[in-house]
Amino acid sequence: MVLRSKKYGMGKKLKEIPANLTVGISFIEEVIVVKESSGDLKMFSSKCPHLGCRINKMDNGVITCPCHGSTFNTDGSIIKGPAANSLKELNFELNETGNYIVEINT
Amino acid sequence: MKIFNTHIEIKILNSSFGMFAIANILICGLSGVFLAIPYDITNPYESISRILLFNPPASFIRNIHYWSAQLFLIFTLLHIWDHFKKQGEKKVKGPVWLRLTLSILIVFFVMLSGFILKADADSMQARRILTTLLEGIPFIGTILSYSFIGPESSLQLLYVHHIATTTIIIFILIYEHARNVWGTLNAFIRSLILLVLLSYFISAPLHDNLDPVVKGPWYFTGLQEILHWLSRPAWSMVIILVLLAVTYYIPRLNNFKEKFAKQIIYYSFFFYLGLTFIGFYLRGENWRLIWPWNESYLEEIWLPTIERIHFMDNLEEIPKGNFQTVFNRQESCLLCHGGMKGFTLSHSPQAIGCISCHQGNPFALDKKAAHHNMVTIPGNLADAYRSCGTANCHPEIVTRVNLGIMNTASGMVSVDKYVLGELDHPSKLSRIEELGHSPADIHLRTLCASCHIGNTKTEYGPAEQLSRGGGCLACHINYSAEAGKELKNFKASKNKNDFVFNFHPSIDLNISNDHCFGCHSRSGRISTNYEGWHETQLKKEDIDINDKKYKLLDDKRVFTFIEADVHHSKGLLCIDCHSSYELMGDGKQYMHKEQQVKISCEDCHHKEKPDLLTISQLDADAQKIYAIKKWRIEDQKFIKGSKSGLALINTYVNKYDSAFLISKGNGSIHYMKKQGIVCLQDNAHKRLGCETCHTSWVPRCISCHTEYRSDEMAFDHLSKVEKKGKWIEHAGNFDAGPPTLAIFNIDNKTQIKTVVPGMVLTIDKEAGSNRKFFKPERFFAPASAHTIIKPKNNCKACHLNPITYGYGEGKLIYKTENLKSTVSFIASYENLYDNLPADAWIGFLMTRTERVATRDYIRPFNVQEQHRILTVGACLNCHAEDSKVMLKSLIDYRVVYEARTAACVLPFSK
Repeated sequence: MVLRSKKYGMGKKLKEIPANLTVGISFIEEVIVVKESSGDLKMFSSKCPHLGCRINKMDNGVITCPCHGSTFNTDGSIIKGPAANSLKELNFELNETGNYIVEINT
Repeated sequence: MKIFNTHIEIKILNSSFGMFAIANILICGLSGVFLAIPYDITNPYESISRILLFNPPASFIRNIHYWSAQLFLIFTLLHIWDHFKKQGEKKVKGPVWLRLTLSILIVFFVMLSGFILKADADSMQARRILTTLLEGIPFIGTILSYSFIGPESSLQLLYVHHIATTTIIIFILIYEHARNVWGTLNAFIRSLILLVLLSYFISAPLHDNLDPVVKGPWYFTGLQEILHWLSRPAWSMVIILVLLAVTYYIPRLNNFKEKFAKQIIYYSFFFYLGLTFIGFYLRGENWRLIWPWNESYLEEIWLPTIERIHFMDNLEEIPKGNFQTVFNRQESCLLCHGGMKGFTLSHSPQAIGCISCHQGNPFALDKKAAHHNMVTIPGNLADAYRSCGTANCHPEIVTRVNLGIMNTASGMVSVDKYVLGELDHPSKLSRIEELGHSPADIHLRTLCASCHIGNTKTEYGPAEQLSRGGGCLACHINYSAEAGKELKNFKASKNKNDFVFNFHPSIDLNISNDHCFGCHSRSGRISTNYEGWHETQLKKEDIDINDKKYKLLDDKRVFTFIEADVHHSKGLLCIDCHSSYELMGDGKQYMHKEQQVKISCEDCHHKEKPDLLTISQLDADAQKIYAIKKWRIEDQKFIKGSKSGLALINTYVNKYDSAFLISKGNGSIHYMKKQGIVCLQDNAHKRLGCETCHTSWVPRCISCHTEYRSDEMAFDHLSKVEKKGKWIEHAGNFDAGPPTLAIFNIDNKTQIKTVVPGMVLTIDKEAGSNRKFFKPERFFAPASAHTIIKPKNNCKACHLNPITYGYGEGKLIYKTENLKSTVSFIASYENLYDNLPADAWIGFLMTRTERVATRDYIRPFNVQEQHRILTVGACLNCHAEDSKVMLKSLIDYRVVYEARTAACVLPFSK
């Protein structure tokens, strides 16, 4: 579900992510969630910085764009192009329902 | 026919390329009108899947629409080329030529919009790429994107542009330069015949949304190749604009420049054609190059399948109730397999479809076409990422399993190579699939490598004693009685190709110990130990098969009963302790198994009050499992694992702080006792792990000889073929006895835990040759034997047992004479080549520091430690175990030692 919130400012697209994701990498449409066994959480845009393809898979432990093969580490940094930039890290916060609200488009 | 220098008006059967292009655009437009009826722009993918399955006439029209569009594009390009060669551009007025130049963009846009409107995985990615390219245009990019493609959430605007805007513009431009919108009857009829034939036999493609190979339309795969080179893809727009500009200016150029410009166009075209071929036929998953001789070529490259349209089949007979929309599509599998039973709710066709696991073609109505690229046994790790591990299902789990030690077998590999002298130390991150062909690698390949879950399951059937590997199926597959009976019938059937299964094995969480037994009845034998069985060297003919003291396994090994683990006696399964983050890994790679293990005795048998977690603190997977299991404990609080920090979901703690375990097998509830006073108040044994006192027995294997014969053949479990190079193991002695204790030093914390003789052997790497390469080794290995009991072992069982120290089996003799006390040791086994008894780790009152264990952090007791333990043994010769002195020594040994009388003569000086 994509939300548009007055609280976060009109024009900002938000998405609700459940807080109880398993450890590992989860692909939830526009968002890639990386959850460490320590509980640390990072969220990245699943939009490949090369040409905007949706990244929704891992290949041999690296996040891989299915369109042109760009690969990224689980910290979002780029391993191999053609993408020139790392995955965009997204801001998120816990809301009153106990889920995360992440800003997927600025 | 010369290509560049001759003016030739090319006609096919009396019609020009232009006429064929017009004929095809007419047919395309007309078919589009009819196709708009069943097509639903609000649910495009589902509507197309319904067309393919239930509406043969509409499916035929769709094919006509698709093939006519492709032919329109091809003939348009040929038409342009044709007129370039006869300088046709000079006959066109300037503004018209400008519009014709721009029409190239419009033609590609209408083609691409049609590709996107099928809304499958390829289409959506193509849309995203087009949006990003347009938005990359400075100043006007976002407006262009919004005006041509529309908002991300809808295809409506694109649909309008496809069926109306661009179609109308194309017809206007055709009329403007050709003064003709109907073409010739000749071209129309011939095009129609070709299209009818193509459309009857070859369906327009539709991605199943599971296949990881994502590709754009064939005419843009060349552009994809170019985009792959460009980390700033906006340059591709510049290239396109330059080519368009060159095209536009051609009429204004003089002869030489005109020829040069045309040659740029021609060479660019052929170069692009080459890239198109590479992109379409040689690019596989994740942009890898793939060649026709690669095994997975046919899986990764789309080649048209010949399957006729089934006009006459009576589709009204198909029970439509079988068809549910799954991931926005419907699947044809249930046409034939609709009556299948045995699924769990979560893995039924109604929940996830059939192709989520088995792949194949969900839109084909013909058996052969439907089974194209089907996976009959999904879940093997080699292809789990396409079934269990897709983004819709369990992607994070498949990644974890791939990195987990049950797949990598890291410890097995590094220890084996260390012992065989190919590594300097036993701790190196390794993966069993990456073995080479050194002697140690061959040792692993031929003797050990079948036991990793990456090993491929190739036959139908449940997990049994002889089962190995199977990926996800190693644990999660179960056959009901009916499914098992049907499987037997299948195996006995002479016509397996036509056998129709009515029962499907279930994919579930009911992981009995049978799933673990096959591999874990090897190596440390923890599966058999757990049930109380110890392996012997007896053969089947040596025993009475009905004697309950013996157990004969399917691989003909004979086991004898010693004593079962108390947890087994209580009915607990392996998975009651070993959770998913242990067995499936946690995403990290570990060198040795004990690093991946998360459970510890203290988690369940806690001291005071355990740390607790609530249901809301469970992660998503744990919550799903909890919901499936239907345990309903009011206000349930789970024990938090000390090592993992995760909930042990089959536990709960009541308001009296009493902890209980719910067996995952049968739901029985077990009270988990807290640690006894002995454990809590005993300061003398603070560093001892629980299993040092609670282990009943361990298997002790010694004195085997293993030799390598390079000329003999052996089966390689990784490549699945017989290869040269054979290791032969000659078993020594193995018995069941108490464990040896050792010092474990991990992260600057020392603990005393159990070890067993792991590799006390001789190795001959050149057996059968004239040279002798004979190497003795003596390693002990950490072992959690899984023979836990309530200790009936008394103090003497450790302090007066030479096996505890690592001396081997034998007798410790204490003598006190003339106010002097001495200890000596008589071994049961003879000394070997290194002057140690066959089952020893160290010599009596000696120690070893190099190459002693299969871990860097394990060592035997040093001499001072042996002295201290033996001294207590001396005390026990006079004082009863439950005497005041001995009980007090547990609390403060130093005080008791200092307070001893002159009558108390102990060995070893202070």
